[in-house]
Amino acid sequence: MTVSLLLAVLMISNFFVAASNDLRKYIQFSALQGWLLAALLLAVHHHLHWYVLAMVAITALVKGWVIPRLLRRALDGQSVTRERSPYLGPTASVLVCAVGTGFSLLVSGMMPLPNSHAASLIVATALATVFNGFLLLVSRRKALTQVIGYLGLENGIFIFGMLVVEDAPLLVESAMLLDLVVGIFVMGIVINHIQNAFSSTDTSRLSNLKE
Amino acid sequence: MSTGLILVLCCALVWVLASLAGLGGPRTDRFSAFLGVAASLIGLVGCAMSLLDGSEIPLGVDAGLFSARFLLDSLSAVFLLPTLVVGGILQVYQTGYLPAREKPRDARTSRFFFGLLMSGIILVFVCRSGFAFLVAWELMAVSAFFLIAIEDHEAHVRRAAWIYLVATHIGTAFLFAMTALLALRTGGTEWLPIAGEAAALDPVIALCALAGFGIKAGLLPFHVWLPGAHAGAPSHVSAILSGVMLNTGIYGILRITGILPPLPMAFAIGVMCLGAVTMVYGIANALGQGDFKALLAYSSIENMGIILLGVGMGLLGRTAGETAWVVFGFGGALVHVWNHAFFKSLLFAIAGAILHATGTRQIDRLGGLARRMPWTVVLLGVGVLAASGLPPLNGFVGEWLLYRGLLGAGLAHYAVVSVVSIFALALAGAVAAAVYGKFFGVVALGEPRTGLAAHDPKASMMLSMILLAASCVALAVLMPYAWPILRGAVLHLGRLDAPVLPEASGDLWKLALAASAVWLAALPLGLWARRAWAARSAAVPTWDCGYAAASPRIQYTGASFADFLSRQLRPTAPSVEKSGALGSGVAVQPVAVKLRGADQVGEWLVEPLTRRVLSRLQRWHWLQHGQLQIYLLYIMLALVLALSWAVVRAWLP
Repeated sequence: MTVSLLLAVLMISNFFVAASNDLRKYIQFSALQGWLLAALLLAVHHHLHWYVLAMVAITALVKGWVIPRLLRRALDGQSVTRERSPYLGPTASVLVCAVGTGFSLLVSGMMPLPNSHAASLIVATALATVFNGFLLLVSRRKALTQVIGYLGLENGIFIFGMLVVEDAPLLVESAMLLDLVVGIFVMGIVINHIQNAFSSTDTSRLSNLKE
Repeated sequence: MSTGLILVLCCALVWVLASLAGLGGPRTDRFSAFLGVAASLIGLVGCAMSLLDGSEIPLGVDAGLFSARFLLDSLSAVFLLPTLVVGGILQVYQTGYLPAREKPRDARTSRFFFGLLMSGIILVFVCRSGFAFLVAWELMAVSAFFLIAIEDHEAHVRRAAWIYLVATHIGTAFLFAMTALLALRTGGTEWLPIAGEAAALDPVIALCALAGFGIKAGLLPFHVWLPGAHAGAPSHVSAILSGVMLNTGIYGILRITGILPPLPMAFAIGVMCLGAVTMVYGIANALGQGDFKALLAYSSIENMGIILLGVGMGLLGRTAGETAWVVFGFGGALVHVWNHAFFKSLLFAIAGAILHATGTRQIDRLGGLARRMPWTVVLLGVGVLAASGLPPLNGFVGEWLLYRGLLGAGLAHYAVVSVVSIFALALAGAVAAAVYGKFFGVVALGEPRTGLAAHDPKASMMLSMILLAASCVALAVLMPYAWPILRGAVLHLGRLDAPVLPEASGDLWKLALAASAVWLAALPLGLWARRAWAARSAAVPTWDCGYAAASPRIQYTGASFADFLSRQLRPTAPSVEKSGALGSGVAVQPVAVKLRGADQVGEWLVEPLTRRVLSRLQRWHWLQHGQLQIYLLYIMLALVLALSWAVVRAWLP
């Protein structure tokens, strides 16, 4: 029950992200998703080993606090904190997000999965989150939104991992987290450099760099 | 557990360490060279142990999805031996050729990728499962790309490196197909000899192998990458590419055909013809080259053709059950692999020494080096004799075995193929003599044509060159002792039982005795002739028919030396561009003549073909926007399509 509720909140938070144009909102929602993931991890496990608790703590810390903090720091130096001319506006994005979520539910319903209901909802949420990450990557221009998009992708994969939670080594998940922190850290630095070099963080300008 | 195999794997690891040590710049440069040499010695000990105890125990590594089988058998050992020796020697050579102190950036790149290339090649020779082999193959191919591109400030080097990269990946595509088909055929990824009847799939696998490995070996329609890459790369890289990396192509063809049951007669004859054409074409093109590294590169194509002729002969013998052809064909090919590895790397090392001293690769700008680089020229003489396939040196031995096979059982049973092959082999041999006569004569003899400085290279380079030349002489004299090593590989390739071996080893003994006799006689005779000459001759200018303004530039040039033969081999003759006319009567106008070596197959076949493919592909160019978002959209669409397919398939019956 708790699991389903958390998954539903995650799905709804995707819509909020898609509907927004404000970079600060993006960061807030991605922090929220981090906390939700930690709670989900706690809810899914039946036996609370010490390493599960450690994983929960690390997830909450990294996704709910460290990464948002890094992103906020990257945002501080910038004059513009809104997506001004996205390829897809908020309304269209919400529609696409809805289509993606529907598609995810459809697909997950057809997949041969163990203990049907919770599992199929996990898959649906995972796919919906991945699609939403892609949507952000494809439809927005700002470098920071790209980072949020990748974060969404990773969250989706993380949720997918809950499916095999009983036998999947937590080592893999922790390695993924470490990867993510390093990636975001580097992106934070890159964003500032892009800002300095182009006096804008619009990634479409990066294509000027090609020959 | 096979200790030999473990030592060879350690050797690959130590080469990686050597490449890492090379990153340290001048401080760790000596250490890196030491590690490379040590690695080679470890590998040689490993090969020797495996050859002595003759046990072939595979070693398996299973790590999840990645599983690999390694096996060191006689064929691997035959290819590993020259690789390790030449690699170790060239590791020393490069410390002199690209000093870490003077050119830190180039030297770092060179040391790093040289070590990786070596470990890639070593792994290629011992990997016996499809996926691991491809990984080792790519490690080798990609490090070679970075080595070729070391002097990337020059446009022609960049171009050559890109052409190489494209060519090698087309080859890898064929190898992927081959690996997949082979897995289909054997039902596993391990490469073990297939027992039983031939299947319809076999020729397809063999053709994929011939194409994929043929690109690496520079066989005829696929040779286009080779001259540019060998000429543009630094000389120690050209030496390792030509002397060692080309062999991996031959090794691959041998390995795959060795796994398959005897192949159809037509395939074997096709391989022989391809070898013959490659050899004649390569050497005829070498004749027209004005750049001595390009000349050596085309000569490598010729030698790969000779080796392939032997391989085809062995395959034919295996299919027809003709033991003599198997022994002389595969035996000749393997002997020539050894010989070519040594004399070609020697010649490239010498080319590097000349280039280093004079700064030019143009034959016609040099001359009179015999007086200014005496030791280099002596070694050049050894290399040139070996490469022309002349008796007292090693180049002759392999060709002799091939002739023996063709003239013996060949003429009796497959007259047409044999006669054509003998003709091609003889023609290539004659032209090779002319090519190397031109190279040696114009570069070493006469007077200097330009004011370029020249001197013998420093000790590290000299030492490596002497070692390589000594190996050439040693192979000519000691080949009968090395024959038992080769015999194991030949028996394996021909799937023969041990005792069935005709006269090959007797021949080798006679040749070795003759070579030893010539060498023993040559040394005192040479010393005596030199002394007699020095006592008698006084330096006077050459008689120039009374022409008053003689200058070194009126000497024979390389082009004029080769002119007669070039005309006979018309399609490969260099094209001549004249600007201005000589004028008539008393007033003589200056005329500029430009010779351009033309690669006809490249210009008439490969280039138009590539252009057509590119223009077809242009239609899809709109997919490449250069915008990150669009590329991500592609990934998303692919994901949606894959998931939709899962849905649709669930609905389908």
